[in-house]
Parts: sequence; C-alpha cells; structure tokens
Amino acid sequence: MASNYLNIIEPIIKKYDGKKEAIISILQDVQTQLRWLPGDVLALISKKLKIPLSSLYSIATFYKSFYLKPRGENLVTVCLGTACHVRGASLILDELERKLKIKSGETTQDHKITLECVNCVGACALGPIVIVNDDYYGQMTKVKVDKLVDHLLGKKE
Amino acid sequence: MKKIKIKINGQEIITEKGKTVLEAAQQVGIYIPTLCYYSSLKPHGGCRLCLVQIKEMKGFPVACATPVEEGMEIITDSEEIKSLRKEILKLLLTEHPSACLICAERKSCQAYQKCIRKTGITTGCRFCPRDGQCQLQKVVEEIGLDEIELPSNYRFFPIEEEDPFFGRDYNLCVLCERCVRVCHDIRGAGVLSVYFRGSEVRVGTPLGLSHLETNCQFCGACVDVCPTGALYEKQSQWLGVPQKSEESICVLCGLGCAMDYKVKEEKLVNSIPSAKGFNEGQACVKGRFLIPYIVNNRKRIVEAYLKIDGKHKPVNLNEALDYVAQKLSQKRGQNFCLILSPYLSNEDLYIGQKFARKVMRSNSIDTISSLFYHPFQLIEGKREENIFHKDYEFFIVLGLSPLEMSPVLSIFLRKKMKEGKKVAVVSPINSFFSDEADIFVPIKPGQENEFLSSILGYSDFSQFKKETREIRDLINSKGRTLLIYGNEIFQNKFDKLTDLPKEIDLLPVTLGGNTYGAFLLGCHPEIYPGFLDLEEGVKKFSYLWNSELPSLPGQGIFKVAKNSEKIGALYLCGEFPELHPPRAEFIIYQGIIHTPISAIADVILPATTFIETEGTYINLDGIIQKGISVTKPKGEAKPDWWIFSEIAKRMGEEGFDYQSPSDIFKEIKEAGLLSFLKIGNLNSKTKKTKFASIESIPTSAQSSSPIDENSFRLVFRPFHWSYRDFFLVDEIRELRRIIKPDNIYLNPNDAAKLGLSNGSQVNVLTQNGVIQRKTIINDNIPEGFVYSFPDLPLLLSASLSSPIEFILNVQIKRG
Ligand code: SF4
Ligand code: SF4
Ligand code: SF4
Ligand code: SF4
Ligand code: FES
Ligand code: FES
Repeated sequence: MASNYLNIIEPIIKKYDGKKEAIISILQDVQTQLRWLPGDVLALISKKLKIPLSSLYSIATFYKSFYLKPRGENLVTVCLGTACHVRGASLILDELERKLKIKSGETTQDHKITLECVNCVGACALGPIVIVNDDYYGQMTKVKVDKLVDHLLGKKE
Repeated sequence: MKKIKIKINGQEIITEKGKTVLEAAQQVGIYIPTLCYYSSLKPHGGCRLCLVQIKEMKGFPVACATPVEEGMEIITDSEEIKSLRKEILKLLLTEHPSACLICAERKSCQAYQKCIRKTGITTGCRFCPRDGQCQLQKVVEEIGLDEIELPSNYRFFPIEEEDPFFGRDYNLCVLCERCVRVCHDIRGAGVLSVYFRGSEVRVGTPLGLSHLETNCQFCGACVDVCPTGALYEKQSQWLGVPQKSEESICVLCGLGCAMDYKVKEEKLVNSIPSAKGFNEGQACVKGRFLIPYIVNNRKRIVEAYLKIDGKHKPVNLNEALDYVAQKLSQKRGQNFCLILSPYLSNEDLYIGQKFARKVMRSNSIDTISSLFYHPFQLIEGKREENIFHKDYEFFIVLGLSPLEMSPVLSIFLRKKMKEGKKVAVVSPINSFFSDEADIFVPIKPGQENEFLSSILGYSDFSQFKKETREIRDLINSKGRTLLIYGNEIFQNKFDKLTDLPKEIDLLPVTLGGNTYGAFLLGCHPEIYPGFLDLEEGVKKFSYLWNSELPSLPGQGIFKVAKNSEKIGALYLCGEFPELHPPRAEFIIYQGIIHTPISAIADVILPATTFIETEGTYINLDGIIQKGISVTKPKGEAKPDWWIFSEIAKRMGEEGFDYQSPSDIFKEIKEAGLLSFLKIGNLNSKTKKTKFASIESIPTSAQSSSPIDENSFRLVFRPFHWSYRDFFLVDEIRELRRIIKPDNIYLNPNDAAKLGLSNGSQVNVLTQNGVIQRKTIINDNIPEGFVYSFPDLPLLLSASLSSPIEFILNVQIKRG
C-alpha cells in the first residue's frame, strides 16, 4: 500500500519542485487521484517535504474541499435546506442511509457511494433535491431514490 | 533600544521601541488580562481578551501584538473595554465545563468543598488538576463574572490518558495555541496543531494519534504553558497547589538546567524548568518528569543494613558506620577499591577520593565514566567562556549523541539559527534537527575522524567533498566556531581535536551530570585532583593533607569489573557494570535504591539524592553551579561526603572535620583545583602536566563499513538513562514506555534482506556472546549498521582496554 502511494506522491511532488509552499496544490493533486487523503499519504508527504504531520493535518482539515475519509466513486448529496426539508428531504435521507447502510458523511464499504448533505443548492422549486455527482434530480421520492441507487450500484431492477 | 514616550490611562510612561503595548503596561504594573499571550512565545492575538483602545487607531487592537509607537495614547480599562472583555469571556466559557467559575457558592465551596459536582461532564474546578493554579480562573476573577446567560455548548471530547507522564482533557481547552507554538517554535517537535474550523476547531495531535505514536519528546513544555487544566501532569494531578518552590539545578545531564522544584508537605512533587536559567524555561523528559520518581522511589534506601546470616537487617546508622570503620581498618592498601558516580557533587567526589587515598592508602578510585572517556579527552575542551553567552557564528554538531543526550542543546541551537547563525550537523542519523540545519553531512558511524581531517584540510573526504568544503569556508569566513561533539568522537583517537584551528572552541558532551568534576577531582586510579599525575599528585597532596599517599596506579573500574579475582574491599557508591557479580571479601553499598547489587552487599548505607543535599557541580560549559537542598533527606539518608567523613573519623583520621559542603568547597578552591576552569587556554596548561603512566588511547572505531555481506556494524548509543547507582528505565514504568533498551534499530532494506519485520525477535551474535533484541525498522539508520543501547557486560568482554569499544561486528539471526 505504502509503496503504491509513493508512486502517486513522488511525481506530484516533483511537479512542484518539492516546494513546501506548494503544499495545497500538492494535496489537491493527490486527492484528485485518490479521491481522498488517507493518513498514510499525509505521513509520507510530511516526510518527503519535511513538514510536520500536524501542520499538514491542520491544512487538510481547515479546507472543506479536502477529504480525510474515503470517498466513493459516486457522490450522492441530499439537500436539507428549508424548502427541501418541508417537502420531506429528511425521509429521503433516512431512506438512503437505510439502503446504503451508512450515515451522511460516510462511504459504502465497496467504495461505490459517498453520502452527504447540503443546505440549499438553489433549486428550491424542484425540491426535494438529490444530486448525484454533477446531475440534479428533483421531486425525489423514496421509490425514485431507490431506483437511483440501484442504478449506481449497477443492479438490475 | 530607542526610548519612547507613551501614555497609558493618562499616565506618562517611558518605554522602549520594539516592545508591545502589553509589555509596556506590565512594566509599570498596569494589569491587562491575557490568555493566549506567553512571554517566551510569539504573540498570537487569538483570545482578544487583552484588547485596548488606542487614540487614532480604529477598533480595539490587542495589546499583546501591537507594538508601541512614540506618542501613543492607550486606554486599558474603559467601561466599554470591560464589557467587551466580559462578552468575550462568556462566549469562551460556554464551551468550558467549569460551573465553579461562576457558581454563587464558590467562596464557601473553596473552604468546605460542600458541592460534589455541578456540571455535566469532566469537572468544575474542584476536580480539575489546575485548580488554584489556573490562569482562566484568575482572568475570570479579574474581569469579574457571576453569570453566563448563554447556553452551554460543551464539546464532550474523551479524556486522553493513555500516554505516559501527561494527560489531556481538551474539554477544558481555550484554544490559546500556546502548546502549539511552544511545540513548533521552541521545541521543533511539531507534534501539536489546530485542526478543523468554526465550531469544530480543536487542538491536539494529528489523525488522533497518541503522543507515543508521534515524535513527541515528552518534554512537558506544552503542559507548562497551558493556562488551563487541558494539559495536565499525571504524577502531580491530585496533589493540589504546592506549598513552596525552590530554585536549584537538574544534574541528570551535564547541562545543569535551572529548575523550580515544587514541594508539598516536605515532599518533592514536581520539577518545572525555570524561566530564569539559561535553559529559558525548557528541559527534557528527565528533568521535567523523572526527578520525583527518583526521590520518592518506593525502593529508596532509607536506613542502614548489615548482612547477618545472609540476610539484610536494618540497623542504626551509627552501628553500621562503626562496623564499616572497624572492617575497613583491616583493608587498607590498593586492594580497597572505591567506585564513585559522575552524578555526585564536587564535594562528595573530592571527599570520596580523599578518603580512599588518605585513609585507605589506595588509588583504586574510579567512576563508570572511565569506560566511556579518557580524562585527557575532556581537558581538550577549551572552556574559555560560557557557550551560552559567547557569540559564536557557526556551530558544528559532530555525532548524534550531543543532541540525544541533551535535548536542551538543540533548543539553544535552533534559537541561534533564528538569529542567523549557521549550524552544521555531521551525523549518521537524520533527525528533525538535521533537517533544519544549514548543512547536514550524513557520514557513516566511525567516519568522524575522517571528517575532522578533512576539516583540517589533511584529507579530502571524497564522499562529502561539497559539504566539507562548505564547512571549511564557513569556519574561515565566520571565525568563531563551536564544535559540539559526543560519544562518537570519544570512541576515536582524539589527537585531531588538538590540531583544530584556534577559532574553533570545543564542547564535549558527556554522560553524567558531573563527569568533568569527577575527573578534575581525581576520581581516577591514575590521576590526582587537578589532573595531576601520580608523582605530582602525591607531592602536592601529601603536603596539603599531611599524610603519606599511595603513588602506584590503582585498579580501575574496567579491571575490577573484568577481573573475577577477589579484591579486599569494594566500596560501591555509583554505577558498577556487572560482568560477574562483584567479588570482594567485603562489599559496601552506598546508594539511594535497592538494586540486585545492593542485595549482595555486606553493608548498605543510605545516601541522599541531589535534591536532598547541597553541593556544586561543573556543567558542560565549565561553570560551577550550586544545587541546594530542596527537601529533607528521606529517612536516615545522609550526604555521601558526610558518610565518608564519619567513617574516616571513626578510623581515627584527621582532616575530615567538615561542617557543611561549603567547608569542602573552600578546601577544593584553596588547593587551586578550580582555577582550571578559569584559565584561558587549557591546552597549554595540560601540555606541561605529565600523564606518564596512562596507556595509549585505543582507536577502536576506525573501520567504517561492515566486513562482509552478512555482517553488520552494531553501534551502541550512549545510554544516559541512569542516575547514580541505578537505571531509570528499570525503576520508572512510565519511562519504559518511551525508552526500550531491548530494541535494535535497522534500515528497511536490511530488514527486508533478513526477512524481518517490526518487532521481530532477533539474536545478535558477537564474538563475545549473544544478545537478544527486538527490531525496529527506521529509515534514518544507515544501511549495514544497526543501533542499540549498550549491553555493558558484553562490551566489557569485547574490549581489551578502557575506554571500551562501542562499535562491534555482529551477525543478526532471527530469534
Ligand atoms: S481549567 Fe481552570 S477554570 Fe477550567 S475547570 Fe480547570 S481550574 Fe477551573
Ligand atoms: S511534550 Fe514537548 S514535544 Fe511533546 S507535544 Fe508537548 S511540547 Fe511537543
Ligand atoms: S491545550 Fe492548553 S495550551 Fe493548548 S490550546 Fe488548549 S488551552 Fe491552550
Ligand atoms: S537537559 Fe539535562 S539538565 Fe536539563 S533537564 Fe534534561 S537532564 Fe536535566
Ligand atoms: S432547499 Fe433544497 S434546493 Fe433550496
Ligand atoms: S492575550 Fe492578547 S489576544 Fe490573547
């Protein structure tokens, strides 16, 4: 595992001439490849760039765009904004959590799906909204999300 | 510093440019509440409690981070400021589970403790380790709060207690980041930081690691700067506020840091590095955490024992001393051997050797230090000035051991680097410090001499041509250079050191708190006090002590430990390397802890620790430092000088009528022994003195690579985890979690070759025996080498003379 990570990290660090100042770009590039930033990777980068692990972890937790938990191939986001909420968004979330056996913010064991919540994505009229990767699905119902998930998991109906 | 005039609350004040508003106010005794400010740390400006108003400045600048300017007019206590501070404090306290702070019953509670607990989790000050010593309590008191109408928002973090020495309750954390700053900026360890943001923000180790899993030095600096009970020391956690604080020194290494010793009910409860010493409030794990474990150890020898019918019976000290005096009167001559400790004070050491020479007519006096160093090598250090004050421009650290043995040295060097001085690290092992240094030369173990020759221009260190040239250039251009070296160099022939150019001062770093003192005061079978050889020594001291003195070389620790033949009487008052159980007709054990060796002694005499008796010590820097007696001795324990003198008197000898250590110090001084420390150039002085009978120094560490594929060079690291007669690791469980004498460290490639993983049990085969170790894989270790803590019996049997060899050829087999 560690040596696999090394193969990913080394070229990226090289791309930025091993400069400490480029740490954010380096973390971004690493995350693009791995979809998240595993602790082992942070430890390796810390060693290579001679930046204390605590400082790296501080940066990685400060920015919302870095993920310190595994991310699935697909990101399913449920809107819990006011408009969606009154139209039953929390039932949709319950259904997803039940079906995927994970909580919001977690990833399925097979790394297929990560579940998240947001507050309003500006499409209130169509609520409840579920976003799968970059696609918006409006007026969701339990049945519709079930289908959506089955589709993502590659299951036939 | 340029003087400037400012006004605080209408009062005119002369202060200096470069100071902050807070410092200017403190200087004239004006109180401004602070929480994140800490005098030795960079200002952070995070808590905003110190806000003030400054004419012509918008808003409320923070006093701790605003520099004073000529003519500034500052208000620190308007009603507006006061109410703002209250609001800030309230917000902060919504997250702080300490209902006691604002509880109406607080006053009576302090007196009667009637309320058990009013808060949901963790504490309330009554159950907080910092109660009574907490800066947050003080600030609340000063600002005055009796009610918080905001809802509480506690964080419910689990308490972290699994690490040795200190625990963490981040529910009490006020996010002042003092711990973060001290750990990064002063210690260079970088263990702690701030994570997440907004309401989730928290301080601690990364990735939820325990401190044992990080490169935490367990220096306790974070605990000392924490204003609250978030970081607390375990051993004093429930002891409450100490009753007194005494300033003295730590003698667990040659640096001699200044410490504030905290005492409660005549018991040492804590040792905190003093901000007033050269160590500037910093220490290492030994000084910070171990001293109470030593002094209050449950195995302390607190009375005298005689062996009667094979069993130790406690006896009156007088009786034991009479018995020893009577026995020793029959054992005079070189067959009496006295082992002293390099952790003893000058007074103890001087009287010890005087006792052996004058009373027992024996030069068989030694310390464990002779196994590691030749006294000659120590005099080579040119102790012209105090290194902590002299303006060196360039520092070379040769070997790993100086920094390993005295972490406070690396703090000193980091500070110098920040001032723009240059530092080169020449060591086989890469460390956080070598990463920071200006130059790092990763030599192989044993190449230290080659490196020195190349610095002198004698040879071309082909592997490190560029680096050695850089170092040479720095010496030439910068001039004043300090070479700090440790055990690696002592293993080598030392003659190169004397050839070094004049601009280079030498700082040898040795094991033991008073190694230099031990040699200077003649605790060596071939040296009289003042580094005099036997002939000159006898001449000088037979006159001073008015007595006949032995003039033949005595038996040293190396011979006594190796030789299985019986000697007449063995007087153990210091660490003894056990190759065979010591064999002597009569064994006296004078120490502080019951050990396997004390178990075989005929007489056990209770001695004091450095905390319980006054004495002077010579630190690395050549400074004579005084340690005071902080607490009363435990039980019947007596200072070593007192015990030696009592026995001498009971043997009818004169010249041992000392009332106190200062009488002895006076005698040492009047004998001209301390002038060595003052004289400008020691080299010229020692050249004139004859060291006629000392055998030549071995050149053991010469070959620098393993002989064949399957063999390794085993390098023994200096083992500085002892005090007097015992290994700290043996007696202090918490320390065993950090220091593992059974580990062997090796490079990942070597481990792969041998098919070993972390924690594999291995047999290390040497020509003189096998030792068992557990592997730790570490990519800082050079290939072909393995590192371990020494196994003294093995090293003794592997060596033909002393100082002993510290690099051996070994084979490693899976256990
Ligand atoms: S940290 Fe201070 S204020 Fe908080 S509970 Fe402890 S003693 Fe009380
Ligand atoms: S004990 Fe020292 S090294 Fe460890 S976290 Fe605290 S300050 Fe840092
Ligand atoms: S743990 Fe203590 S020193 Fe560190 S941020 Fe919290 S309150 Fe401040
Ligand atoms: S560096 Fe030395 S003198 Fe200072 S605290 Fe540590 S052991 Fe004691
Ligand atoms: S509340 Fe869901 S899109 Fe606005
Ligand atoms: S003490 Fe000044 S901001 Fe905290």
